[in-house]
Amino acid sequence: MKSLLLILSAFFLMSCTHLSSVSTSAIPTQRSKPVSAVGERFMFMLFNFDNKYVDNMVMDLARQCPKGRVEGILTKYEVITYFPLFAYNLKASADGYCVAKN
Amino acid sequence: MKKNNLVLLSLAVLFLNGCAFLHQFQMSSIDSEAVMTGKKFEIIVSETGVNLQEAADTAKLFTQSQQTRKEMQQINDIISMFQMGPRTGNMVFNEKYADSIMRAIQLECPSRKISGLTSIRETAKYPVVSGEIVRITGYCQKGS
Repeated sequence: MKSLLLILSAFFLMSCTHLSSVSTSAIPTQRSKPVSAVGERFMFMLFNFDNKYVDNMVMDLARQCPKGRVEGILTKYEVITYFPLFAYNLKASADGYCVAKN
Repeated sequence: MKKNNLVLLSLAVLFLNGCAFLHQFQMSSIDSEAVMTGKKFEIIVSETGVNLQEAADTAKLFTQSQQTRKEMQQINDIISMFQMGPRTGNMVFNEKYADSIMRAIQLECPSRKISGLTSIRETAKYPVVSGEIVRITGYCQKGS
């Protein structure tokens, strides 16, 4: 019984975050206005048929900085496991700085 | 009947498992005006990838001989020794398939400003084979 509990707890405690990808572009000197965008998708039983959830992130960032440029963009792509084999969350995030145009 | 349903369900799971895996994504600096007023474009280049382990496992299903199965596994193990190291997706037989991207971007937007480029490396996974994809999205500024 104890070993079964141990196995089950190990199974549940296995929920974790896996960082797949990180990138950054040149960091500007003006860093007073941070902007960010997130694209997420909940994945059930590993079924995911496209990665379109990242496609709107550029527009999201541009809308937060309509009269300038977004620079110093740090992108991250994470896979969060809630319950192995059944429930995952795919999360792409981008953080940058809104810089006024010269 | 129940057995047939089970087989159908298993096959459906096997083939519906044609899933999209995102490996990496990267974003360049964004000129908001170019993005919000520009024209969005998307470039996709891909190459067929092969999962040798799955190929060997599938091939084993078609033979009854234990000796043949053992030999197939040995061949797969030998090939695997030459495929070590970090990688994204399955192996491909032409590593230059992504080289044409720069040219394709220039053709999409020959003389205007390009901004908001997003590079996505993804895999469309099917049994044994896969599509190893590089997808670029960006915005081409309108006007002069």
